[in-house]
Amino acid sequence: MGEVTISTADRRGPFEEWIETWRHRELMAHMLRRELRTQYNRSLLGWAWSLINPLTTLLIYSVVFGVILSGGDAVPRGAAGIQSFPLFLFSALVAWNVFSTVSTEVMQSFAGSLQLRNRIYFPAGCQVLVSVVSSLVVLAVEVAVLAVAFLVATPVHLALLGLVPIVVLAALLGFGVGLFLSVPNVRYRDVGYLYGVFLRFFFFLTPIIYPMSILEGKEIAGLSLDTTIRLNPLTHYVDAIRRVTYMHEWPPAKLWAIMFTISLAVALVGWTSFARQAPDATEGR
Amino acid sequence: MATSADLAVRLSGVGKSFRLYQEQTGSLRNRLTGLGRTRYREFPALTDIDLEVPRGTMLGIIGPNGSGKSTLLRVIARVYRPTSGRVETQGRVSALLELGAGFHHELSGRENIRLNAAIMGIGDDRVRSLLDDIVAMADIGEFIDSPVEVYSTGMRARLGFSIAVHLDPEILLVDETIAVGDLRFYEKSMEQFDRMVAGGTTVLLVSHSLGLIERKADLALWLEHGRVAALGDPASVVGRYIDHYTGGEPLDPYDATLENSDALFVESRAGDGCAYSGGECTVRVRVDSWSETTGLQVNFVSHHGPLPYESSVEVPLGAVGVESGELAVVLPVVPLPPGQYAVEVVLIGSTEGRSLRTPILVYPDLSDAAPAGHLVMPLEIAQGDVQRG
Repeated sequence: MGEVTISTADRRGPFEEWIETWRHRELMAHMLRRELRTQYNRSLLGWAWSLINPLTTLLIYSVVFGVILSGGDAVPRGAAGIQSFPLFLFSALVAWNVFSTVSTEVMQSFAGSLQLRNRIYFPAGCQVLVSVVSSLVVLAVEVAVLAVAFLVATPVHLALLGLVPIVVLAALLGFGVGLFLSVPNVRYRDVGYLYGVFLRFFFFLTPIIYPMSILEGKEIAGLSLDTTIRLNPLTHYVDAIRRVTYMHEWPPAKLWAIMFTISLAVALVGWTSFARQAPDATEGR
Repeated sequence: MATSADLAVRLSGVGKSFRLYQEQTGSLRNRLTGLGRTRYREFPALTDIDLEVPRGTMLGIIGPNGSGKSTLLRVIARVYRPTSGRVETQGRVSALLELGAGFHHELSGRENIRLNAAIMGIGDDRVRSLLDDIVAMADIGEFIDSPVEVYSTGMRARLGFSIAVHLDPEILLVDETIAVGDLRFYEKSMEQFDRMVAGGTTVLLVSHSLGLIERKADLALWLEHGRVAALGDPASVVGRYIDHYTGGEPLDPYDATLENSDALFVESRAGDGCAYSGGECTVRVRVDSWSETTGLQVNFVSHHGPLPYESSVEVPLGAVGVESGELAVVLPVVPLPPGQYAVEVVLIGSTEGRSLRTPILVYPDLSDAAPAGHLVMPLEIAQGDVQRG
């Protein structure tokens, strides 16, 4: 006879919720295949969009900041003597996009899964895990473009392999933030809108379109900008990705440790809060 | 193991309440301006439900709208977590809670079959072998490769049903009031339920069709305000349900217009004061003396007054030849969709032109799975030349 399933008012802990989600890994594999197949449904260019989007952004920023507002000397000189604003920008942009895309996708996909979860049971964690992996697949195109750009522009260097762990760590951070926002976003739609505003604001608080060196000695209301921006956790990811691409250097162990700690801690806190609230969010209509 | 081997579903002390927020808009501002105080009240949708459903039985669940029937199925399906108590199920659960089950609207019917199978933990190989059967039963032909969003309501219902029953559930939860489609398919689905129950599947069926529950179910549960009002033998539960809704409480808006209601009764297979839509009923009239009365006229009256058609049945009393006592008028068809009406009997020929009224509750039945329009027209279909009587 079939197995016994028990459902009570007691909440599952974060670990049990993970086990329950993992038990449905075949479902997740199915959902992932489906998601990737339907990603660019009803679009003529299809997967080319995951290439066009980053290239367009890159083009806009290159023209605006590289030509119109030409900073010239402000652009740091990288490895092998390159001094290219588009490459300087693109590397940081990839780290940023991984974080912002994953966090937003996780938050939105959870809201999107409620309709189905209101009709048939499957663990709340399935959809969010699937959305992380599927957005990483789309982002992989972007990461590959970045790698190819540097392989073409600069000599081959092993430090470039550092891209993979950095992208994974940035995605883990995005996953944690997205999990944390998922359930509040269902209850108050403001959360999603606020997060969009927050991301736009944060984009400029992260050294993406400018180098850290530009901040030295500058301050706002007595606060050293240099120190302030360093408090932004994303600064570390941007710093690390620039090192492995633009600077051709392996990040120091301390930087790895910082990223590892931040990503893991945020993901664990995010999952714990998600596991506590998400199973009951079905009725949050 | 807590569940004894022959039980498929066991609920002990199950409660489910929802938070009803005072302000409908889910806005953060409300929460912030309320200084962390959220204004809501707990609405108990289910209270203290104890239920044991043996394996291989059909449980019929009845109750008025809002009594918790759908919530109960959702709690058993694990879509909702109980707020208190314990739900145990033994075996794979398949649920038809809404029209079109667990459909993803952008996916084709075929992909939805795979998705639903994956949710139930059924592998692709097994699905491939079932696909033809599912499509055949759903009767949707080449639409199987079109996105579900272009399907008609009936097609969605049929596909959802076909998927749910083919994925070998050990426990099947069906909310028939919303999840099952047209009449032809309805009968097909009832046959399927019978076969499944015979094969050991446990079926929990929410239905408004009292006749169906009475005929098919092994056990009936009557929910009222989220509590168990009655549980047991279907005939007795349905009987008590009908009594409650007709005998116990006066039915608005007719109670004000009742005259001599003790002298007028309606009875049918559905019970006293009730009839099945499209079914027959008997109107009993009792007066002290028939001597002045030359005929009877029977009308149905709705909320809006007399129904806008010639609803009268004239019975010439001369042929009956009664002097006093009770008369029974048999109406072979109650041509009304489900709802509350009154039966009016006008005594023709009496000097005062007396009329009597009594409420009648019309229930949906098999012949009226999807009520539409103002009248029910019974049909009989025969092969070849129609015999005219």
